[in-house]
Amino acid sequence: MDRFAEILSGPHLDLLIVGTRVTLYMAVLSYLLAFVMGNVLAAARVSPIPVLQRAAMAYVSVFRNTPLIVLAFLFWYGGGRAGWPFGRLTTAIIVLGLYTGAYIAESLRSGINAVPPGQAEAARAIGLPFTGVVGTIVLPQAIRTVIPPLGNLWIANLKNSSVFLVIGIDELTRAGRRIGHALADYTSAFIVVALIYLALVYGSAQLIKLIERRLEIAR
Amino acid sequence: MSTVIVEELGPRGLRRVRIATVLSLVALAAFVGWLLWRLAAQGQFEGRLWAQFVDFESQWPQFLLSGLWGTVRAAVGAMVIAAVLGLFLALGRLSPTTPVRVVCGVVIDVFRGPPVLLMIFFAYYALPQILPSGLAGAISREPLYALVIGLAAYNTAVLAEIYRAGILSLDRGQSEAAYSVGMTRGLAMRQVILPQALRRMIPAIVAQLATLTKDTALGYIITVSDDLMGRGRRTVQGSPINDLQTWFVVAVIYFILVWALTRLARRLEVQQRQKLGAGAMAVTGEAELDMLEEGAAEASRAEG
Repeated sequence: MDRFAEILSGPHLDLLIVGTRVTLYMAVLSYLLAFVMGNVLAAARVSPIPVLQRAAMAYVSVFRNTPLIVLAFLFWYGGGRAGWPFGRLTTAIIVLGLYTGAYIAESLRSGINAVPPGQAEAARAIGLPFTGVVGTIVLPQAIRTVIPPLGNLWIANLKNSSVFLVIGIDELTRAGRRIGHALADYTSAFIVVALIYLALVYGSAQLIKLIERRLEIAR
Repeated sequence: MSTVIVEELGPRGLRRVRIATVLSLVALAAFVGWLLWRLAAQGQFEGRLWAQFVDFESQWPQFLLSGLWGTVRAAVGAMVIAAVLGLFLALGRLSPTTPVRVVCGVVIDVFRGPPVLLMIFFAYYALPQILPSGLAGAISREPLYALVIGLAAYNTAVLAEIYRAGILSLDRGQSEAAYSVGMTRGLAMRQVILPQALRRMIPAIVAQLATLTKDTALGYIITVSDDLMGRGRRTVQGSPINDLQTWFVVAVIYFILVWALTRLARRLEVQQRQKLGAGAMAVTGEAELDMLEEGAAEASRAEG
């Protein structure tokens, strides 16, 4: 117990607070980027233009089947040799966003495909233009089915941000390792860090449930 | 598949699609061209940077490729451990005894909550401080063990949830029929439920194996040396000017491995769907667990 009091005071507490803040900062910004990427890619996948479909499929396949840490190295070390202009934190946010974006694209696509074709047909039959079909009929229904997977991806994104300690980001997991090193007691340090992650994940899960309930339609 | 939103195109629509095709081709080609031009301008395509990866006389290609064996070993080792322990954890989570159920539930949540990297760190840094010195020495000498332990711990919890989803997805009539012919809970589980449920879960398990294989790359951070990433590091250290090329080659090898597993999982899933019929629930991965749980909760509410 003394050990935990030690971790939760003075410079160690500062490390934990900064680490948590950096983790959340990365998670939020990369998720925003991922959401934009996911929408663009999903739109390309359901568009009638074959080139865009193929390009989006290739993107999703590459980013989903390559380890995140290898992508980080390619952009940070590899890009560093070829004039990649961004700093560590920006690079981390971009790579994480591009990675999660591939998953979001897949979720959105399956959500769109889950809307019964009759819905779009009916919308067209009453004369709605393409934007009306998509904007007022298909997407509102698709979004409701994708809220749980999108929420899971937010949590996965938050957890995956830990990988970027390898390019020198001072996020939560790295803070735990530094504290463990300083105290020569990794067990306590990692337990505290794990509890912080659990709190973040649990809080996120509750928030997602709330959003889901808000958007629910009575049937 | 993508014609859900767009109806059959008329002549005008077809012309518009053609124009859009040309425009997007030009845009994509411009982007790729610009990227290649940037890389070429920085001399990244010079033969000397790539030579060692294509010269099969030298030991470099074999050096990297033999690292693949270490990666596969770590992935398979962690998967086997997680598959066995995960089953016990899932059965505990479904146990009628409340304390067992609660403890197993907490274990699953605690192991699945934090990032897998934290589990690997725990195995590498913290376990040697807890374990007796013999085991601690083994982990310090061979970080691969820590990698396998960390991955196994995390995936035990994930697989337990997959198992549970598979067991719950089975029609209630199966277990009721087993009880009605006088089977005990354990016997019904072993003889009736698990054989059917396990078969349903194979696609999800293969998909999880793909994820786990990707996660073996995290061994780099705890200095695992005999896998793909470790070999990549040593290649970079040998000639630090070609790190872009090294990580590109490593990425391609990982991609092929993981892509093959993902495809296999998808094919198995399609087979399963056909076998089980259109309306049947197929468990495909972590993302669907929540929906399934809600379904189960709703069903029990409807009954009660």
